[in-house]
Amino acid sequence: MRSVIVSIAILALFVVLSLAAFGIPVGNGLKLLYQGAVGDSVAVSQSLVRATPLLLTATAIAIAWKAGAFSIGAEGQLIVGAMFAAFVGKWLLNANLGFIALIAMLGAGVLGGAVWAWIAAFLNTKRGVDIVISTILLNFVGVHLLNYAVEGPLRRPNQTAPLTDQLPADMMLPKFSRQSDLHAGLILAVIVALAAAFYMLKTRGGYYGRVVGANPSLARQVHLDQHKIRARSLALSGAVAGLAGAIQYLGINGQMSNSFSQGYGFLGIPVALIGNLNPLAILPFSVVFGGLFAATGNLSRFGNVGSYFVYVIQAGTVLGLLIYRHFEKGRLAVRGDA
Amino acid sequence: MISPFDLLRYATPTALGAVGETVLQRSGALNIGLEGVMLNGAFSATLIAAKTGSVWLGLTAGALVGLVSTLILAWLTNQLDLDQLVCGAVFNLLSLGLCGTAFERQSATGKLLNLPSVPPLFGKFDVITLLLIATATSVGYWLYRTDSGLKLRASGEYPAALTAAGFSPRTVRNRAWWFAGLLGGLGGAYLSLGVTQSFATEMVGGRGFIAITLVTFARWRPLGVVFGAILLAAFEAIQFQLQLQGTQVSKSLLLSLPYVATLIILIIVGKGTQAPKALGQPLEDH
Repeated sequence: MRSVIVSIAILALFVVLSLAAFGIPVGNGLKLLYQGAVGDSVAVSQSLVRATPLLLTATAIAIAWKAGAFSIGAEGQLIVGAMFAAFVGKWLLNANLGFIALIAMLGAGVLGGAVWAWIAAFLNTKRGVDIVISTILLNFVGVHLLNYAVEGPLRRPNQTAPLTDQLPADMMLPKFSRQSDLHAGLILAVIVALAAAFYMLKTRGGYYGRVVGANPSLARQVHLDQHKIRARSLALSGAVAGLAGAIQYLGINGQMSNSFSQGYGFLGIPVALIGNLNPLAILPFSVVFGGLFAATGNLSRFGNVGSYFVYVIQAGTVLGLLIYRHFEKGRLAVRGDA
Repeated sequence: MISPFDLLRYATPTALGAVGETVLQRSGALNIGLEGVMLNGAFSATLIAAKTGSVWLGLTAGALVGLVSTLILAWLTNQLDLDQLVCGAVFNLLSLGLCGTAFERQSATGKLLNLPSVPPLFGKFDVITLLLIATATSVGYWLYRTDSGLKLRASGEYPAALTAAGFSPRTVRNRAWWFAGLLGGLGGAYLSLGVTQSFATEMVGGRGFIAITLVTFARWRPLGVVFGAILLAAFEAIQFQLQLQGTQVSKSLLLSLPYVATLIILIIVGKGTQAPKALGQPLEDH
């Protein structure tokens, strides 16, 4: 609880500091941000739409990092997951299966992300390849594969534009109302985050993962199969990231281009860190950052500040938090409480 | 056909960053934030070059801002012992946010459109490409043939031995960070002033990450990373050629080949023996 309060305090501090640093009147800026995030029902739904993929990718990062698998491959896994879903979508396009097709596509997304993460896990287990390096490489390969797919096998027939088929509404995630983009993916994301929290904190598998991540030498002494546990966490993390991709694809447009990903795989990392790699804390923070992403659009309309502004707040908050924790630890150590 | 000189010029930003990263990784530190360092270099170079009209001041500013970037990263990871991966990833985001926002506020004034170019020195070589070759060669020599090069490698392999010998791995790593920052910033500056002649917020486009993987690809050898960067540039050139000729080979699959090749090399050599043993691990002395 205390860490959440500190996180919020540092976050608020950085919002104010960043506004001031770019010469935006702080009071006015805060008002615009507030209106953009929660000002009316459209703003709220936009905030939640943005929060959905952040929640999933941050949860994915938390699952892997907590087990010591420092993957930065959520971006590639998200892309490949969405691509798998699109392949199944193309296959089932004229089958009139509706809801069943939707489930199949979500499942394909989970599978795609898990497979992409599993490659990195396999290379780490069998050949000792560093997960950081292999996931960076797999991100690049994933982006190029998506380019290839939307220009080749996934492209709409008889069209030159690199776009996939438009899915019919009954194959997409249901929307809550006609006026907003808010879709059922949000509920799915919350369920997945809660399930991930349960897995990490209350099951044996999650506990082993935390042991391997927190204390590898203890894990070795009690004969835990570290490679297997880390690989499993990484694959699970990929599955969640892949689901994020499928949900973005099936929730918003039902159509994919090569610029489909908006970097949510990378943006999940700071959210996961601010939430202390705990899905229960990630949940509120992804809503906060979803709100900030939605709100900066509003800020730019009046203040000549674009979408990059949130990154400053995100990154600044993480760094502030890390530095705070470092000196807090030092202070406790001096007092002998640590 | 595209000349080898153009390939070299195109490869130079990535190669500069990768040579710096090689030295840094040899000292045991990992700069995942290279992407951000290069972006900061590119933006400050653009800004100064446009304001002063001097390409040399621009390049110098880029290198210096790169240095400041790694001073921050070195303070976080080498002094406070914070996680190198976390700090690097977050630093990338911070740089993207700062440069992106600052650029949007600047570009509204339209002052960043007229950029001076880097003049050729002789033939098609310019100062920076020559500097790259000279640096990579001399770093290769320095790493293996000098005392201080040995100290640097010791800091990456077994820092405790360096401490026992009466030297500080922290100091060695700090200097490696400075060097990596200067080169990374210069690489970014050359990207905006020498290669594209313009600035865009997304312009680094993964070059920093590519440079990091090149270091692994080239087994931590400075001339190897330059070769690797030229190879990557060649792949992109071939892709453009094929597109012009309307060949049926998918350009995207072709572009992914270098990354797949790097993965395959990693599978073959595995962890290998060349990777610095203490790479990415914080120091334990105090």
